[in-house]
Amino acid sequence: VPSAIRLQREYGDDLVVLLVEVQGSKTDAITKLQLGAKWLGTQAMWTSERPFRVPSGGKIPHFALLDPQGRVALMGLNGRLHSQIVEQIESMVQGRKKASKELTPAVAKAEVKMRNGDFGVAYRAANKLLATTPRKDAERVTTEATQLRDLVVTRATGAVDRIEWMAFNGYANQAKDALDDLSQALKGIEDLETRLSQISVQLKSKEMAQELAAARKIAKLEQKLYADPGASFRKSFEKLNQAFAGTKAAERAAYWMQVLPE
Amino acid sequence: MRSIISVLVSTAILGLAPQLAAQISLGDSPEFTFRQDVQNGMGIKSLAELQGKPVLIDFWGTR
Repeated sequence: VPSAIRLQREYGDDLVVLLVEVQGSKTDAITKLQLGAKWLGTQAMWTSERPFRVPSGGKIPHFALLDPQGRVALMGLNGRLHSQIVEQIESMVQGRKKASKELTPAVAKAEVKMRNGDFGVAYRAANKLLATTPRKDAERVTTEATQLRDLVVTRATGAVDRIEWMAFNGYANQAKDALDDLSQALKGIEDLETRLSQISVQLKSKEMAQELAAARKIAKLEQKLYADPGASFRKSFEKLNQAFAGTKAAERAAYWMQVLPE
Repeated sequence: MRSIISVLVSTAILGLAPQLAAQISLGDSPEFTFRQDVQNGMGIKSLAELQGKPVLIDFWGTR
């Protein structure tokens, strides 16, 4: 776990780290361990659901590294393969900046835009290619541009889904911060622009003001807790839970009240 | 006779046991839908939603 967390801190947005607890421990026990070891506060995700099995001879920790297309690129026992894990991640991160040689150059250029999160630019480029393919490789370009456009819509929809989830599940502050950037990145994908602007309107509504204030407060409190898990924050979460009763952040505060010592 | 009983018992146990996650090989594209919220996952529901970036999946234990 510590090396996975280090990699998450180092690579930030360029890497997804998913930590899977495989011994069936209870959530409270896992949370206490995470806090004590200062493993929280990064983008790393955690679950107790094992998505698949890696041949490991029953030993833990073990890992699987998936490439950006979702294929298993490396797997095994962590310690033995640590330098290979780092090498492959670095190569994948650098590779995402380069145009694919498997695609026609124009589509490859648009694909790089998608990988950088410029969904609207990639979408418009794919549409332009579909509208103007008079060349001899028209059929190939049409197929590739159609696939790219579909993929752009899937990825961009995923990004909007994340913001929507954050907005209504206790992370409204983060949703608000991410919304403006994504709104720029979606220009030209009308359905998603509309969906995003509806979320934006809801976030600015009177009904959401309390959720937004609560989300800001709990985010700050959690950062303090992650940095100094030994300090007593139980009372602060209790206050928040009472002051913002009925909000999603208050529900989260109630969980912390249950986990943290009196 | 004993071996037949043993096979029947094993089959019954396997039939009742919860389905184990599939074992993967290099080059596979594993699919999985989470049944519960992924902590810090901001609503992600499946491995497919993580595509687009390298994904390091670390299997660990608390004991």
